[in-house]
Amino acid sequence: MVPSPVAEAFLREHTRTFLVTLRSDGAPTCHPMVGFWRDGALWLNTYRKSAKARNLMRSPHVACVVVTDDDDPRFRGVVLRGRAEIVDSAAPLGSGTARPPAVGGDVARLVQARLAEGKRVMVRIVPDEMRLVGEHG
Amino acid sequence: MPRQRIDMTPDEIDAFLAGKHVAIVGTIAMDGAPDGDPAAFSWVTRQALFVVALGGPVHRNLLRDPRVVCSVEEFPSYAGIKGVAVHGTAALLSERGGRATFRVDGARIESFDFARMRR
Repeated sequence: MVPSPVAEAFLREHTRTFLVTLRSDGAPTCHPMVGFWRDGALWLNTYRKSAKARNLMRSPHVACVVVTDDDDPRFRGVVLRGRAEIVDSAAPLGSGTARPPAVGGDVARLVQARLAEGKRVMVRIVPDEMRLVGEHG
Repeated sequence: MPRQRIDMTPDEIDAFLAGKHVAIVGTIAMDGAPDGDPAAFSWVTRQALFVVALGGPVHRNLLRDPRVVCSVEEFPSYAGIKGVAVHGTAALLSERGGRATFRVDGARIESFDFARMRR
């Protein structure tokens, strides 16, 4: 799907992301993460052996809620639902986004090293549907 | 090597959630896949309450399948990341004024505090 210009602009500017997956018992669970919008997909990274990675390998349908800070006077966000896939590559973190990574340089370098070692993986989520939350006008 | 514990104590969870008023609520949609939405959140006598739009995605999803998670986090810096997830079953308390209020019953709580990580 092609996101609306409003949704795409928001996703380029905001990285605060909550990933909703299904556990092995079928119940939902939620993981706060940092997400980057690029090339029509939301990109996350996590440890290959993490619970969230295991969940989405078993059940790749996920939801992501990308929002402003809680105390933003114009609290708003974008909900996207789609299919997640593990991408085995050390793609640059945050490149192509308007906002820099929300972590310090040391953390970003450690993440890059773990990606290169294969301990961390990139997760690409291509949306099937998207909706706006709050007032975006 | 055993994984280091970075979870919060019950009192720390109380203090953390007492100051939070927004949660991301994870549900299961009609198609069986996960869904999520922000909700107004409160933590009252160690019970999670949340309010969503009547007839909105969360309300509709939970009337069909009450399994739910409420996720609350803060990220002032990498070392300051904290979060709590409350898993359970959503019980509908009221539907009025265009809003539906739910309580999370049978809650199972997971928490993390990156300040506890050894570096």
